[in-house]
Amino acid sequence: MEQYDDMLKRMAREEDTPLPSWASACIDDALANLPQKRRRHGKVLRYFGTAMAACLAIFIALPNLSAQAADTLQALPLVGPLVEIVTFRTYTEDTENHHAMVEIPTVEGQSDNPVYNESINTINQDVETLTSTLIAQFEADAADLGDEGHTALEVRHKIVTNSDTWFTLEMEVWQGSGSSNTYYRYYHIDKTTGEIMELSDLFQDDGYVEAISQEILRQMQEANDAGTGVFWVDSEYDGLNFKSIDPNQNFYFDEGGNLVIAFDKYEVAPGVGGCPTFTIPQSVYEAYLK
Amino acid sequence: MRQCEKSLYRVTTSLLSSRQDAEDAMQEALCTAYEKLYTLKDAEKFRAWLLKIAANSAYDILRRRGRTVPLEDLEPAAADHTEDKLSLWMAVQQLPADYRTVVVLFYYEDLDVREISQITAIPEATVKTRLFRARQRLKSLLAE
Repeated sequence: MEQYDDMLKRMAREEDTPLPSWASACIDDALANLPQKRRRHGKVLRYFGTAMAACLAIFIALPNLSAQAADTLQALPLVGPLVEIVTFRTYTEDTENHHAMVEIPTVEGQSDNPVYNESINTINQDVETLTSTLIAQFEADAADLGDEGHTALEVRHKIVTNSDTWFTLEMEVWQGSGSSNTYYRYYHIDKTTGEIMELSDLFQDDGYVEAISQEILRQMQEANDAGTGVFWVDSEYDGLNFKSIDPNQNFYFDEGGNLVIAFDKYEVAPGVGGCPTFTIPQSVYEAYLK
Repeated sequence: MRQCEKSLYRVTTSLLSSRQDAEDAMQEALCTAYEKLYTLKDAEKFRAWLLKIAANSAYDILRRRGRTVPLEDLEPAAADHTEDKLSLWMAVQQLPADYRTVVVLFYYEDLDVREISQITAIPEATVKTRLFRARQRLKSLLAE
């Protein structure tokens, strides 16, 4: 097998397929216009990344709520009038070799603020495309593997926060096929403005990236030294080692209103490390807040 | 960046079946790489880093489009070859989209299974499975 792989790699190296003219023109165009196209955000929801003022001190966080409890949010006294309810439908598939359970939540709310309504629509559309893509991938893999392999998909949602000022929906995606992978998406709305928020929107400049990264690195090293962590901080393979958070790293606010930075599986530790989170003291980042 | 343009082309066209989408993904990837270049600490990792961004851009396009067509039914990637005999690249373009991507990353970009897993966000076991199946198909295609 290795010989055949070596042969294919050699063929790939020796193949001199020219870059098509349309691709070359496309790259030329992109490179020529880079300064004009520079933006702050690079994620699915980047087009909603308007910088917002946010005062963390006034966040009123609610305890984490299960998916089931989320449906009764409307009745909770602290819940603001904007995000009223989160309903969800479920896609399931269960055969001997293939299993899928996908929750597809829909955020429902009413407001006179068009920005807020657009934010809700955007989140619902993104959740819809995320789940439909995952389901399509699952169905394709299941059809491809047939009885010769196993594949699994589970997608769950949770309302992390729903206070008078802030709303956070968490989507947890678990994919299994031999080994497994887990990752999260968080959708945040600043209810005071109706805007979708990303981590960078909380801060006035990029200084928070280094400050928070150093704090996480400190916590990782501390956990490793105590034997409770397996984080990649001093691996021989330097490409693995944690160096910095993404400017728009996953985050949420915990029950006490503390900033929590979240990583997906394999992002900063081996699979056994799960999906690590780090609670960041406000003193670390408050100087950079807007 | 110029040294990576063929890699960029191969990865985006392996994931996206239309030229228009591949163009969008390439431009998106270049813009994102430009914006986030300061986050890259190790210059030697630039190519893998750029390909990760390119793959994410392609996945974003697939998500926005709401991919519902089974992968097996997707049209082969844009065919811009002029050779008469079946080259490896022509054979690769006849593979299903998910196979194309791992093949491109493994044989053309010379990345290992772990790196491919990180770029495509699929488990290493799935990468191995797809490589195994793709290898069988390539064997058959190239033997024809």
